[in-house]
Amino acid sequence: MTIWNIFSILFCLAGGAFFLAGVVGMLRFPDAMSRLHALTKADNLGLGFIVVGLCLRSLVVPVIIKLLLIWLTVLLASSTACFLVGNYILQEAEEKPQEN
Amino acid sequence: MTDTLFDMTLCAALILAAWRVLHSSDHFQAVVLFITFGLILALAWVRLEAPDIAIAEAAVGASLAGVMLLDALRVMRSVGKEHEQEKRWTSVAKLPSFHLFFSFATVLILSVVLISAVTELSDAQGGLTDLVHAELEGSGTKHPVTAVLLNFRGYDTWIELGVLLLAVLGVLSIRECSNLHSLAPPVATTIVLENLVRGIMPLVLLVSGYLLWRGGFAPGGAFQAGVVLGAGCILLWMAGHRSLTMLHDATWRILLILGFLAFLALGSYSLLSTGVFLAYDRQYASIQIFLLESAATLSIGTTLAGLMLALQPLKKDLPR
Repeated sequence: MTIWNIFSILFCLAGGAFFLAGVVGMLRFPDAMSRLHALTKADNLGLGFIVVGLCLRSLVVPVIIKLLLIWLTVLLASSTACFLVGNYILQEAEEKPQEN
Repeated sequence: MTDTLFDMTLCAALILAAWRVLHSSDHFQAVVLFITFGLILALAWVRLEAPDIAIAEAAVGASLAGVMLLDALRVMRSVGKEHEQEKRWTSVAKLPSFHLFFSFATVLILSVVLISAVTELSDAQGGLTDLVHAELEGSGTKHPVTAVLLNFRGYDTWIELGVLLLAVLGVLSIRECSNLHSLAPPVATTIVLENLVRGIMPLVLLVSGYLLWRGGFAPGGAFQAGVVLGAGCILLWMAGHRSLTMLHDATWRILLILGFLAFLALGSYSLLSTGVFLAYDRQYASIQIFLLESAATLSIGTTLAGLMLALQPLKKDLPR
């Protein structure tokens, strides 16, 4: 049991590190596109690592399926949201020169 | 120790978020902060071991209210463009001193009342918890919260459904929008969003049904399931999917009143047969609760979606 716990803690820590990097990127990156990049990294990899960590902690099949389903849904939602925001930024950038 | 530290951080984050919501000078920022506040509040409910309220808070307080506020912002912006009005957000700091004094006094009085209520609570050991657990056996459900909502205090839930129904009727009559067909059809968006919604809708329905089923023995139930259903409908519309416009007018109206009507019908039946409103026969309690919850789920979903959709542009307002 303990070996699973150690792996679980390592995975959760890795996930936390990605979230931290994502937050720092959100606050420090210069433009919206690169901020989006930082944000989606935290969503995809950070949450992925934490989900794997939690799976190793529970080791119960129904719980693992639910956790993976949560990750999959967030992946879908976050990549779509990222696309929508990126698309909006591009449209704004295209419209602005015409106004001037 | 770690728990205390976590709770303290949570409380600090809550107060900070609330403060920032009131103090931000930008509408959009305030709305996003309000959503953040709702999510932190949901986490606080989890820490207080009230997962039912946490799910409701996350679904209603953060998501649905957030979407409504964002939509209001969109409308405000388009109205602002038309009239070119000065649309400055009145921040707390800019309010006249009378207003500040008045709100401060209200908050102070409310705090005193709340604190006195909490100090009174500590005397009664766990309130009515023991009574609920003692009566849980014949209530028709294994989850105490569901038992309270649909059996012991079913009357309150019925009135709540009535309030929701009144709210949606009010919005619909103010907007002069009697059915979904008087709404302008949803605007088509990008193919990416449409495909996401197409893929995720079955999952939304599954989660809604799962929450309803779970309410029988664990946190979950009609309200949470209904909110998920309503959010799914709003998502469909926002993504430009036209399926909701095909809903028959009568079907929509029946779905709106179904929950209220189911309570009324079962209540009247029990009033006539036993003389008590909404008294369950122990034998049939669980099937009655299941029927009521299913009806309530559909109604809550339709009502919440209706509240949001009624605020969308109408056909008659569109430029021809």
